[in-house]
Amino acid sequence: MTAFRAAFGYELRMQLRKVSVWVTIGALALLTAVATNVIHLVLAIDDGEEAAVRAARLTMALLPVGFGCLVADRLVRDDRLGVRSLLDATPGGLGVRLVGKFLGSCAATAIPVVGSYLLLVGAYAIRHGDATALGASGLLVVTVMLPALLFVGAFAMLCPLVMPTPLFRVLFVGYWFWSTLVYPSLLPTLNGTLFTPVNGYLMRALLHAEDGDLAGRVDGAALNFLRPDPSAVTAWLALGVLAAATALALSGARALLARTAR
Amino acid sequence: MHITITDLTKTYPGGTRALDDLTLTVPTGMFGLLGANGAGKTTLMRILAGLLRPSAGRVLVDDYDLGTAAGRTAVKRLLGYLPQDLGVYPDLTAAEFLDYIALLKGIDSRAARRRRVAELLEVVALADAAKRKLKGFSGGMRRRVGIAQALLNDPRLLIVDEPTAGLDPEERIRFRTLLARLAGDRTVLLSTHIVEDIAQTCRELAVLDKGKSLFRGTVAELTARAEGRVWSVLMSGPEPAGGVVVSALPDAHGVRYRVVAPAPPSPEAEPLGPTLEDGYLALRGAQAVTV
Repeated sequence: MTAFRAAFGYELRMQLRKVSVWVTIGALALLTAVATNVIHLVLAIDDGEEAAVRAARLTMALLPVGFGCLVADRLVRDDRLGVRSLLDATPGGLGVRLVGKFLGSCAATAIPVVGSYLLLVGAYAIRHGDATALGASGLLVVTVMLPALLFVGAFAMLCPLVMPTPLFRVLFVGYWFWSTLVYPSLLPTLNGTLFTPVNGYLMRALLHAEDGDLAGRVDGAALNFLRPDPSAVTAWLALGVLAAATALALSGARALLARTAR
Repeated sequence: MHITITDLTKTYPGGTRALDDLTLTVPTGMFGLLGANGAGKTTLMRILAGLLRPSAGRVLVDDYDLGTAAGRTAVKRLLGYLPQDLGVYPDLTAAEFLDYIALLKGIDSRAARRRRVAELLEVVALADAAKRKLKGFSGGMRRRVGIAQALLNDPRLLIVDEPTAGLDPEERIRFRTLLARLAGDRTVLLSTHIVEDIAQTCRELAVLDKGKSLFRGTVAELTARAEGRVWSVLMSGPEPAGGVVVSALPDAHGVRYRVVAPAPPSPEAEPLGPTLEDGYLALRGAQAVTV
């Protein structure tokens, strides 16, 4: 357990100290607010739960791009800095250390992302004197935002082990837009399916969110077979898919790291 | 701790054979490992530190078998390792970096970690720089941080790969003394290019060449390999042939060479007493070294 504590604590500390974490996420949050007219989209809505869902969707549009790019160097930098052999010569298992490093760097990078979201929801709650948005936001952070960020973080750890980090960042930006932002009737996309990182099924199941492209069948869209009707079952299934993919990516990263010992 | 290496072979995925059927025993105390670049020293060190798996053969550290995961973990608990290419996290302070490694080594109590970190920063003369970020440290200072991290868990087995590289002469002597003092009832495996470091600290050593053990014995035995083969000769023309030039010192009448050769390189050559470096060169025999 001390190896986990060490990796988690120090990765968290090192990532929190990086100015680029705050600048990147802050700039993306500002860009989102300006480009999407937050006042109209979130602050002007009457329903607190709906406002929380809208704010989550806005937050998860661009900020995870910065999140993924910022986490991408955390694992490979141990090799770049020449620290890895020191770490590998300690008795804590590679897997335990990897999970600690993963959760530590994701937690640190998620703080400004989640902070931006809670700021927006807080502003809504104050403006409308409505605390329901705050309750809904807690639920959304735990069930939708954090699982999506952990999924991104896991692949941001894995992929740079097999490709240059800048290439991963470019591909990841493309993937994120394709899988979460493209409207399904425009071109084949994972958006609205069980396999999209931003779990629209849970938003619909838990908070009865109504936006049409969140989850489920979209008329005229390709890949509709991946868009079953939203229900509690499909919501948890989508979360399970995300968790499984996250675990798979971490296992892959562990296997790749262990391979260098052979 | 007693290390027994039997028929150890390491072949890298590209086909390079770094260790070739190596058999070696390392007793408790200070033990030196000498060899040219590519001799297999670092590969051996990495296998002993549990970082690499051998392709064949067996390594026992006391009763722990490094071929098993349990054996490697057990050895890592007793290990202090200073790698050749030491890296640090530039955004941590020296004290934080050491605290991090101490936690990874299983020192759970915060008070114990603080005490040990402060103690070791004192030992490596970095107490005043404890709260400075490592990105501002010179190569020598980083090396000293590396030495401190290797000692955090009071290791029974200390593996140090080129530990004095980048240290100034005073620091080198200080570190050599520290290693020798630590040896006592633990095993310290010192790999280095600097023959003097081994001459000053080790009683026994091995010389590796192309992954095999070329020599295993005492420093005195290796030094004796050059007995009657070390010559001092003053020449004004080309350097003496038929031997290995250990050093060349220009003076008013030409250049005074120290040569290891089976016979006097010139009629005026005077015999000299051998050093460990002479013994090493006599053993290796072939390549000329000009200093």
